[in-house]
Amino acid sequence: MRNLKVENNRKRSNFETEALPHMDAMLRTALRMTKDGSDAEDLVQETYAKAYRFWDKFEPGSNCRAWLFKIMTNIFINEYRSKSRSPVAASIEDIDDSYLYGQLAGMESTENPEQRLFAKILDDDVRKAIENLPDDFKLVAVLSFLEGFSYQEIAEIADLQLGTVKSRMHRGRKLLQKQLYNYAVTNGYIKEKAQ
Amino acid sequence: MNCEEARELLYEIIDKEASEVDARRVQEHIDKCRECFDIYRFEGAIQEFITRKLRDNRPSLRLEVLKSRVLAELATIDHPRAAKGRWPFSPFTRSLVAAAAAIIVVAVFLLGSDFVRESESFASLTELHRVATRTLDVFRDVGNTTGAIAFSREELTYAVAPHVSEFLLIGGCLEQFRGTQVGHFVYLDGLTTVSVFLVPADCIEMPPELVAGKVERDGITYFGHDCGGCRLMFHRLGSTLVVTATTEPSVDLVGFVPGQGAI
Repeated sequence: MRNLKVENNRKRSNFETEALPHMDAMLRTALRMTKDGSDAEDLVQETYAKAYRFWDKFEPGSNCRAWLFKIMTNIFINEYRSKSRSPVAASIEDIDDSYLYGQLAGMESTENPEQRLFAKILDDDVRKAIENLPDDFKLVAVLSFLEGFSYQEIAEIADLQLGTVKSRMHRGRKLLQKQLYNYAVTNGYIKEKAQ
Repeated sequence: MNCEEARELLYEIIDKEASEVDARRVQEHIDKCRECFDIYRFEGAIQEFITRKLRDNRPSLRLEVLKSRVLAELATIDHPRAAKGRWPFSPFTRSLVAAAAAIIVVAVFLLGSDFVRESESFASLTELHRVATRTLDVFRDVGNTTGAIAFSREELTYAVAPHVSEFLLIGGCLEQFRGTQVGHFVYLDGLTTVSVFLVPADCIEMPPELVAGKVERDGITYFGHDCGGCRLMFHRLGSTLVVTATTEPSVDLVGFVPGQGAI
Protein backbone atom coordinates (compact mmCIF):
# COMPACT_ATOMS: atom_id res chain seq x y z
CA MET A 1 0.00 0.00 0.00
CA ARG A 2 2.77 2.33 0.98
CA ASN A 3 4.72 1.40 -2.15
CA LEU A 4 1.71 2.12 -4.29
CA LYS A 5 1.50 5.56 -2.80
CA VAL A 6 5.19 6.25 -3.41
CA GLU A 7 4.74 4.99 -6.96
CA ASN A 8 1.76 7.27 -7.47
CA ASN A 9 3.62 10.28 -6.18
CA ARG A 10 6.51 9.57 -8.49
CA LYS A 11 4.17 9.23 -11.44
CA ARG A 12 2.46 12.46 -10.54
CA SER A 13 5.64 14.44 -10.17
CA ASN A 14 7.09 13.01 -13.41
CA PHE A 15 3.94 13.98 -15.20
CA GLU A 16 3.95 17.46 -13.78
CA THR A 17 7.56 18.05 -14.80
CA GLU A 18 7.27 16.53 -18.26
CA ALA A 19 3.77 17.29 -19.41
CA LEU A 20 2.46 20.39 -17.67
CA PRO A 21 4.96 22.87 -19.16
CA HIS A 22 3.37 22.26 -22.58
CA MET A 23 -0.02 23.53 -21.47
CA ASP A 24 0.68 26.98 -22.84
CA ALA A 25 1.21 25.63 -26.35
CA MET A 26 -1.66 23.17 -26.06
CA LEU A 27 -4.04 25.92 -25.05
CA ARG A 28 -3.09 28.31 -27.83
CA THR A 29 -3.51 25.56 -30.41
CA ALA A 30 -6.80 24.48 -28.85
CA LEU A 31 -8.02 28.08 -28.96
CA ARG A 32 -7.32 28.31 -32.68
CA MET A 33 -8.83 24.90 -33.36
CA THR A 34 -12.08 25.26 -31.42
CA LYS A 35 -12.56 29.06 -31.79
CA ASP A 36 -14.18 28.99 -28.39
CA GLY A 37 -12.48 29.65 -25.08
CA SER A 38 -14.35 27.19 -22.93
CA ASP A 39 -14.23 24.43 -25.56
CA ALA A 40 -10.49 24.97 -25.79
CA GLU A 41 -10.09 24.67 -22.03
CA ASP A 42 -12.20 21.53 -21.92
CA LEU A 43 -10.19 20.05 -24.77
CA VAL A 44 -6.88 20.69 -23.01
CA GLN A 45 -8.19 19.43 -19.71
CA GLU A 46 -9.51 16.27 -21.31
CA THR A 47 -6.17 15.78 -23.03
CA TYR A 48 -4.26 16.02 -19.78
CA ALA A 49 -6.62 13.69 -17.98
CA LYS A 50 -6.21 11.12 -20.73
CA ALA A 51 -2.46 11.60 -20.91
CA TYR A 52 -2.21 11.08 -17.16
CA ARG A 53 -4.23 7.87 -17.32
CA PHE A 54 -1.97 6.57 -20.07
CA TRP A 55 1.25 7.99 -18.68
CA ASP A 56 2.80 4.49 -18.44
CA LYS A 57 2.49 4.30 -22.25
CA PHE A 58 4.69 7.33 -22.71
CA GLU A 59 8.30 6.41 -23.46
CA PRO A 60 10.59 8.44 -21.24
CA GLY A 61 12.97 10.50 -23.33
CA SER A 62 10.71 10.62 -26.38
CA ASN A 63 8.98 13.81 -27.49
CA CYS A 64 6.39 14.53 -24.84
CA ARG A 65 5.06 17.58 -26.62
CA ALA A 66 4.31 15.63 -29.80
CA TRP A 67 2.76 12.86 -27.71
CA LEU A 68 0.42 15.31 -25.99
CA PHE A 69 -0.53 16.94 -29.28
CA LYS A 70 -1.32 13.53 -30.71
CA ILE A 71 -3.72 12.84 -27.88
CA MET A 72 -5.27 16.27 -28.21
CA THR A 73 -5.64 15.97 -31.98
CA ASN A 74 -7.30 12.64 -31.56
CA ILE A 75 -9.83 13.99 -29.07
CA PHE A 76 -10.40 17.04 -31.24
CA ILE A 77 -11.12 15.00 -34.35
CA ASN A 78 -13.45 12.65 -32.52
CA GLU A 79 -15.33 15.09 -30.35
CA TYR A 80 -14.87 18.71 -31.34
CA ARG A 81 -14.41 18.99 -35.05
CA SER A 82 -17.20 20.82 -36.82
CA LYS A 83 -19.87 18.50 -38.05
CA SER A 84 -20.50 20.29 -41.32
CA ARG A 85 -17.97 20.31 -44.10
CA SER A 86 -17.04 23.73 -45.29
CA PRO A 87 -18.14 24.40 -48.86
CA VAL A 88 -15.05 26.57 -49.42
CA ALA A 89 -12.92 23.52 -49.95
CA ALA A 90 -14.26 22.86 -53.43
CA SER A 91 -12.92 26.05 -54.96
CA ILE A 92 -9.31 25.75 -53.79
CA GLU A 93 -8.02 24.48 -57.09
CA ASP A 94 -9.08 27.75 -58.69
CA ILE A 95 -6.77 29.75 -56.46
CA ASP A 96 -3.34 30.34 -57.95
CA ASP A 97 -0.16 29.52 -56.11
CA SER A 98 1.36 32.54 -54.37
CA TYR A 99 -2.04 34.14 -54.62
CA LEU A 100 -1.32 37.21 -52.54
CA TYR A 101 1.87 37.93 -54.37
CA GLY A 102 -0.02 37.76 -57.63
CA GLN A 103 -2.59 40.24 -56.35
CA LEU A 104 -0.18 42.68 -54.79
CA ALA A 105 2.78 42.64 -57.13
CA GLY A 106 2.77 45.41 -59.66
CA MET A 107 -0.18 47.24 -58.07
CA GLU A 108 1.97 50.24 -57.48
CA SER A 109 5.64 50.71 -57.87
CA THR A 110 6.43 49.94 -54.26
CA GLU A 111 9.52 48.00 -53.39
CA ASN A 112 7.89 45.62 -50.90
CA PRO A 113 4.23 45.17 -51.74
CA GLU A 114 3.56 43.28 -48.51
CA GLN A 115 4.63 46.06 -46.16
CA ARG A 116 1.54 48.12 -46.79
CA LEU A 117 -0.65 45.11 -46.11
CA PHE A 118 1.22 44.07 -42.97
CA ALA A 119 0.85 47.51 -41.50
CA LYS A 120 -2.93 47.30 -41.77
CA ILE A 121 -3.88 43.71 -41.11
CA LEU A 122 -4.79 43.09 -37.49
CA ASP A 123 -3.88 40.15 -35.30
CA ASP A 124 -7.56 39.31 -35.24
CA ASP A 125 -7.78 39.21 -39.03
CA VAL A 126 -5.03 36.63 -39.17
CA ARG A 127 -6.55 34.58 -36.38
CA LYS A 128 -9.95 34.70 -38.00
CA ALA A 129 -8.50 33.67 -41.35
CA ILE A 130 -6.86 30.65 -39.72
CA GLU A 131 -9.92 29.79 -37.67
CA ASN A 132 -12.14 29.88 -40.73
CA LEU A 133 -10.11 27.31 -42.60
CA PRO A 134 -11.80 23.92 -42.91
CA ASP A 135 -10.70 21.73 -39.99
CA ASP A 136 -8.46 19.44 -42.02
CA PHE A 137 -6.37 22.32 -43.32
CA LYS A 138 -6.53 24.26 -40.11
CA LEU A 139 -5.11 21.39 -38.11
CA VAL A 140 -1.97 21.00 -40.20
CA ALA A 141 -1.55 24.76 -40.58
CA VAL A 142 -1.79 25.42 -36.85
CA LEU A 143 0.58 22.57 -36.00
CA SER A 144 3.07 23.90 -38.50
CA PHE A 145 2.74 27.69 -38.26
CA LEU A 146 1.98 28.04 -34.61
CA GLU A 147 3.80 25.10 -33.11
CA GLY A 148 6.60 24.60 -35.62
CA PHE A 149 6.13 20.85 -35.98
CA SER A 150 7.77 19.29 -39.04
CA TYR A 151 5.69 17.64 -41.76
CA GLN A 152 6.82 14.25 -40.45
CA GLU A 153 5.78 15.10 -36.89
CA ILE A 154 2.43 16.41 -38.11
CA ALA A 155 1.91 13.18 -40.06
CA GLU A 156 2.41 11.21 -36.85
CA ILE A 157 0.35 13.53 -34.67
CA ALA A 158 -2.62 13.64 -37.02
CA ASP A 159 -2.20 10.06 -38.27
CA LEU A 160 -1.82 11.10 -41.91
CA GLN A 161 0.44 10.18 -44.81
CA LEU A 162 3.32 12.59 -45.35
CA GLY A 163 1.97 13.40 -48.82
CA THR A 164 -1.42 14.27 -47.35
CA VAL A 165 0.21 16.68 -44.90
CA LYS A 166 2.06 18.38 -47.74
CA SER A 167 -0.99 18.75 -49.92
CA ARG A 168 -3.13 20.02 -47.04
CA MET A 169 -0.48 22.56 -46.13
CA HIS A 170 -0.36 23.71 -49.70
CA ARG A 171 -4.11 24.05 -50.10
CA GLY A 172 -4.54 25.54 -46.64
CA ARG A 173 -2.05 28.24 -47.56
CA LYS A 174 -3.91 29.11 -50.71
CA LEU A 175 -7.15 29.51 -48.80
CA LEU A 176 -5.44 31.51 -46.10
CA GLN A 177 -3.90 33.92 -48.58
CA LYS A 178 -7.18 34.31 -50.37
CA GLN A 179 -8.95 35.07 -47.09
CA LEU A 180 -6.35 37.60 -46.02
CA TYR A 181 -6.66 39.27 -49.37
CA ASN A 182 -10.44 39.37 -49.06
CA TYR A 183 -10.22 40.93 -45.57
CA ALA A 184 -7.80 43.50 -46.86
CA VAL A 185 -10.07 44.42 -49.74
CA THR A 186 -13.29 44.37 -47.68
CA ASN A 187 -11.77 46.59 -45.01
CA GLY A 188 -10.34 48.94 -47.56
CA TYR A 189 -6.70 48.22 -46.68
CA ILE A 190 -5.98 47.74 -50.35
CA LYS A 191 -7.86 48.31 -53.55
CA GLU A 192 -8.94 45.28 -55.49
CA LYS A 193 -6.82 44.60 -58.49
CA ALA A 194 -8.59 45.33 -61.72
CA GLN A 195 -9.26 42.08 -63.51
CA MET B 1 17.18 24.66 -61.96
CA ASN B 2 14.49 26.58 -63.80
CA CYS B 3 11.75 28.84 -62.45
CA GLU B 4 9.13 26.12 -62.46
CA GLU B 5 11.26 23.81 -60.32
CA ALA B 6 12.08 26.66 -57.96
CA ARG B 7 8.37 27.45 -57.48
CA GLU B 8 7.61 23.79 -56.84
CA LEU B 9 9.96 23.84 -53.88
CA LEU B 10 8.77 27.18 -52.54
CA TYR B 11 6.84 26.04 -49.48
CA GLU B 12 9.16 23.19 -48.64
CA ILE B 13 11.95 25.72 -48.46
CA ILE B 14 9.90 28.12 -46.37
CA ASP B 15 8.86 25.36 -44.00
CA LYS B 16 12.48 24.18 -43.83
CA GLU B 17 11.49 20.80 -45.17
CA ALA B 18 13.63 20.76 -48.31
CA SER B 19 16.84 18.75 -48.55
CA GLU B 20 20.15 20.57 -48.37
CA VAL B 21 20.79 19.83 -52.00
CA ASP B 22 17.47 21.33 -53.06
CA ALA B 23 17.94 24.31 -50.80
CA ARG B 24 21.31 25.03 -52.36
CA ARG B 25 19.99 24.68 -55.90
CA VAL B 26 17.10 27.00 -55.14
CA GLN B 27 19.49 29.52 -53.64
CA GLU B 28 21.62 29.43 -56.76
CA HIS B 29 18.55 30.00 -58.89
CA ILE B 30 17.08 32.91 -56.96
CA ASP B 31 20.48 34.59 -56.82
CA LYS B 32 20.15 34.92 -60.56
CA CYS B 33 16.38 35.19 -61.09
CA ARG B 34 14.80 38.41 -59.89
CA GLU B 35 11.22 37.26 -60.15
CA CYS B 36 11.71 34.05 -58.20
CA PHE B 37 13.73 36.00 -55.65
CA ASP B 38 10.81 38.39 -55.19
CA ILE B 39 8.35 35.58 -54.71
CA TYR B 40 10.57 33.82 -52.18
CA ARG B 41 11.12 37.03 -50.27
CA PHE B 42 7.41 37.83 -50.31
CA GLU B 43 6.27 34.38 -49.23
CA GLY B 44 8.90 34.26 -46.51
CA ALA B 45 7.73 37.61 -45.19
CA ILE B 46 4.06 36.57 -45.28
CA GLN B 47 4.88 33.37 -43.41
CA GLU B 48 6.84 35.21 -40.76
CA PHE B 49 4.01 37.72 -40.43
CA ILE B 50 1.31 35.06 -40.02
CA THR B 51 3.29 33.13 -37.44
CA ARG B 52 4.00 36.25 -35.45
CA LYS B 53 0.38 37.36 -35.48
CA LEU B 54 -0.85 33.92 -34.50
CA ARG B 55 1.22 33.78 -31.36
CA ASP B 56 -0.61 35.52 -28.64
CA ASN B 57 1.80 36.59 -25.99
CA ARG B 58 -0.56 38.30 -23.62
CA PRO B 59 -0.25 37.01 -20.10
CA SER B 60 -3.10 34.61 -19.87
CA LEU B 61 -5.27 34.42 -16.86
CA ARG B 62 -7.03 31.60 -18.62
CA LEU B 63 -3.91 29.48 -18.57
CA GLU B 64 -3.52 29.79 -14.81
CA VAL B 65 -7.16 28.97 -14.26
CA LEU B 66 -6.84 25.98 -16.56
CA LYS B 67 -3.74 24.78 -14.76
CA SER B 68 -5.61 24.63 -11.47
CA ARG B 69 -8.47 22.81 -13.16
CA VAL B 70 -6.07 20.23 -14.57
CA LEU B 71 -4.26 19.77 -11.26
CA ALA B 72 -7.57 19.30 -9.52
CA GLU B 73 -8.59 16.69 -12.07
CA LEU B 74 -5.29 14.84 -11.70
CA ALA B 75 -5.99 14.71 -7.99
CA THR B 76 -9.38 13.14 -8.63
CA ILE B 77 -7.71 10.55 -10.85
CA ASP B 78 -5.26 9.71 -8.07
CA HIS B 79 -7.92 9.75 -5.37
CA PRO B 80 -11.25 9.06 -7.03
CA ARG B 81 -13.21 9.31 -3.83
CA ALA B 82 -11.64 12.40 -2.38
CA ALA B 83 -13.07 14.92 -4.77
CA LYS B 84 -15.99 13.94 -6.92
CA GLY B 85 -17.59 16.04 -9.58
CA ARG B 86 -16.31 17.95 -12.49
CA TRP B 87 -15.35 21.57 -12.48
CA PRO B 88 -17.05 23.99 -12.11
CA PHE B 89 -19.61 22.13 -10.07
CA SER B 90 -17.39 20.96 -7.27
CA PRO B 91 -17.07 23.65 -4.62
CA PHE B 92 -13.70 22.25 -3.62
CA THR B 93 -12.23 22.71 -7.07
CA ARG B 94 -14.03 25.95 -7.56
CA SER B 95 -12.47 27.55 -4.53
CA LEU B 96 -9.06 26.48 -5.80
CA VAL B 97 -9.80 28.07 -9.11
CA ALA B 98 -11.13 31.20 -7.50
CA ALA B 99 -8.06 31.54 -5.35
CA ALA B 100 -5.77 30.96 -8.29
CA ALA B 101 -7.63 33.43 -10.44
CA ALA B 102 -7.57 36.03 -7.72
CA ILE B 103 -3.88 35.57 -7.18
CA ILE B 104 -3.28 36.08 -10.84
CA VAL B 105 -5.29 39.26 -10.85
CA VAL B 106 -3.07 40.51 -8.08
CA ALA B 107 0.00 39.38 -9.96
CA VAL B 108 -1.10 41.16 -13.10
CA PHE B 109 -1.64 44.21 -11.01
CA LEU B 110 1.68 44.17 -9.28
CA LEU B 111 3.59 43.47 -12.44
CA GLY B 112 1.93 46.11 -14.50
CA SER B 113 1.80 48.99 -12.12
CA ASP B 114 3.77 51.46 -10.20
CA PHE B 115 1.80 51.80 -7.01
CA VAL B 116 1.62 54.95 -5.09
CA ARG B 117 0.17 54.50 -1.70
CA GLU B 118 -2.38 57.17 -1.13
CA SER B 119 -4.29 57.56 2.01
CA GLU B 120 -7.52 58.30 0.24
CA SER B 121 -10.44 59.00 2.39
CA PHE B 122 -13.43 56.86 1.73
CA ALA B 123 -15.43 59.74 0.32
CA SER B 124 -12.96 60.26 -2.48
CA LEU B 125 -13.79 56.85 -3.80
CA THR B 126 -16.93 58.42 -5.16
CA GLU B 127 -14.68 60.25 -7.52
CA LEU B 128 -13.15 57.01 -8.62
CA HIS B 129 -16.55 55.55 -9.23
CA ARG B 130 -17.68 58.40 -11.37
CA VAL B 131 -15.41 56.88 -13.97
CA ALA B 132 -18.01 54.16 -14.21
CA THR B 133 -20.55 56.50 -15.71
CA ARG B 134 -18.41 57.07 -18.75
CA THR B 135 -19.89 55.83 -21.91
CA LEU B 136 -19.55 52.16 -22.53
CA ASP B 137 -18.07 52.83 -25.92
CA VAL B 138 -14.75 53.17 -24.23
CA PHE B 139 -14.94 49.53 -23.30
CA ARG B 140 -15.86 48.13 -26.61
CA ASP B 141 -12.29 48.53 -27.64
CA VAL B 142 -11.40 45.13 -26.30
CA GLY B 143 -9.17 44.56 -29.33
CA ASN B 144 -7.08 46.27 -27.88
CA THR B 145 -5.45 49.29 -29.33
CA THR B 146 -5.11 51.41 -26.24
CA GLY B 147 -2.42 49.32 -24.65
CA ALA B 148 -4.75 48.43 -21.87
CA ILE B 149 -4.97 44.94 -20.54
CA ALA B 150 -7.83 43.08 -22.08
CA PHE B 151 -9.10 39.74 -20.95
CA SER B 152 -11.65 37.53 -22.53
CA ARG B 153 -15.05 37.33 -21.01
CA GLU B 154 -14.47 33.93 -19.44
CA GLU B 155 -11.22 34.91 -17.85
CA LEU B 156 -12.72 37.84 -16.07
CA THR B 157 -15.85 36.12 -15.08
CA TYR B 158 -13.69 33.58 -13.31
CA ALA B 159 -11.54 36.24 -11.81
CA VAL B 160 -14.26 38.42 -10.46
CA ALA B 161 -17.00 35.95 -9.69
CA PRO B 162 -16.13 32.39 -10.68
CA HIS B 163 -19.64 31.07 -10.34
CA VAL B 164 -21.40 33.82 -12.24
CA SER B 165 -21.27 32.69 -15.82
CA GLU B 166 -24.22 34.60 -17.23
CA PHE B 167 -22.55 37.96 -16.87
CA LEU B 168 -21.45 39.31 -20.18
CA LEU B 169 -18.12 41.04 -20.03
CA ILE B 170 -18.07 44.02 -22.31
CA GLY B 171 -14.52 44.98 -21.71
CA GLY B 172 -11.72 45.66 -19.33
CA CYS B 173 -8.76 47.91 -19.04
CA LEU B 174 -6.30 49.41 -16.64
CA GLU B 175 -6.99 52.97 -15.64
CA GLN B 176 -4.99 55.53 -13.76
CA PHE B 177 -6.54 56.98 -10.71
CA ARG B 178 -4.38 59.50 -8.90
CA GLY B 179 -1.21 57.75 -9.87
CA THR B 180 -2.47 54.29 -8.99
CA GLN B 181 -3.47 51.75 -11.55
CA VAL B 182 -6.83 50.18 -11.06
CA GLY B 183 -8.45 47.48 -13.13
CA HIS B 184 -11.83 48.40 -14.52
CA PHE B 185 -14.12 45.79 -16.00
CA VAL B 186 -17.62 46.27 -17.23
CA TYR B 187 -20.20 43.51 -17.29
CA LEU B 188 -23.75 43.41 -18.48
CA ASP B 189 -26.29 41.52 -16.47
CA GLY B 190 -29.59 41.94 -18.19
CA LEU B 191 -30.35 45.64 -18.06
CA THR B 192 -27.87 46.37 -15.32
CA THR B 193 -24.36 47.40 -16.09
CA VAL B 194 -21.89 46.14 -13.54
CA SER B 195 -18.72 48.10 -13.31
CA VAL B 196 -16.02 46.33 -11.38
CA PHE B 197 -12.93 48.06 -10.09
CA LEU B 198 -10.04 46.05 -8.81
CA VAL B 199 -8.05 48.22 -6.49
CA PRO B 200 -4.90 47.38 -4.53
CA ALA B 201 -5.95 46.81 -0.94
CA ASP B 202 -3.44 49.21 0.54
CA CYS B 203 -4.74 52.08 -1.51
CA ILE B 204 -8.18 52.10 0.05
CA GLU B 205 -9.38 52.79 3.48
CA MET B 206 -12.83 51.47 4.08
CA PRO B 207 -14.61 52.58 7.20
CA PRO B 208 -14.92 49.68 9.64
CA GLU B 209 -18.68 50.00 9.83
CA LEU B 210 -18.89 49.30 6.10
CA VAL B 211 -17.26 45.92 6.28
CA ALA B 212 -20.38 44.28 7.63
CA GLY B 213 -23.07 46.75 6.73
CA LYS B 214 -23.88 49.91 4.85
CA VAL B 215 -22.82 53.51 4.91
CA GLU B 216 -24.29 56.68 3.45
CA ARG B 217 -22.00 59.24 1.84
CA ASP B 218 -22.96 62.13 -0.40
CA GLY B 219 -26.43 60.70 -0.84
CA ILE B 220 -25.16 57.37 -2.05
CA THR B 221 -25.58 54.16 -0.10
CA TYR B 222 -22.60 51.84 -0.08
CA PHE B 223 -22.91 48.20 0.89
CA GLY B 224 -19.93 46.31 2.15
CA HIS B 225 -19.04 42.66 2.06
CA ASP B 226 -16.05 40.88 3.48
CA CYS B 227 -15.23 37.54 1.95
CA GLY B 228 -12.04 36.75 3.74
CA GLY B 229 -9.08 38.73 2.52
CA CYS B 230 -11.04 40.55 -0.10
CA ARG B 231 -13.34 43.41 0.70
CA LEU B 232 -16.10 44.33 -1.65
CA MET B 233 -18.17 47.43 -1.82
CA PHE B 234 -21.28 48.01 -3.90
CA HIS B 235 -23.23 51.06 -4.80
CA ARG B 236 -25.51 52.22 -7.54
CA LEU B 237 -24.83 55.01 -9.98
CA GLY B 238 -27.86 55.39 -12.19
CA SER B 239 -28.40 52.02 -13.81
CA THR B 240 -24.85 50.98 -13.09
CA LEU B 241 -23.97 48.72 -10.23
CA VAL B 242 -20.46 49.56 -9.12
CA VAL B 243 -18.43 46.91 -7.39
CA THR B 244 -15.12 47.78 -5.85
CA ALA B 245 -13.01 44.79 -4.92
CA THR B 246 -9.73 44.96 -3.13
CA THR B 247 -7.30 42.36 -4.29
CA GLU B 248 -5.25 40.23 -1.96
CA PRO B 249 -3.81 36.77 -2.46
CA SER B 250 -6.09 35.06 0.01
CA VAL B 251 -9.29 36.03 -1.73
CA ASP B 252 -12.25 33.74 -1.50
CA LEU B 253 -14.79 34.96 -3.99
CA VAL B 254 -16.86 31.83 -3.98
CA GLY B 255 -19.37 32.96 -1.42
CA PHE B 256 -19.96 36.28 -3.07
CA VAL B 257 -22.88 37.00 -5.35
CA PRO B 258 -22.76 40.45 -6.93
CA GLY B 259 -26.03 42.29 -6.82
CA GLN B 260 -27.62 39.97 -4.29
CA GLY B 261 -29.46 41.39 -1.31
CA ALA B 262 -30.48 44.91 -0.56
CA ILE B 263 -29.03 46.69 -3.54
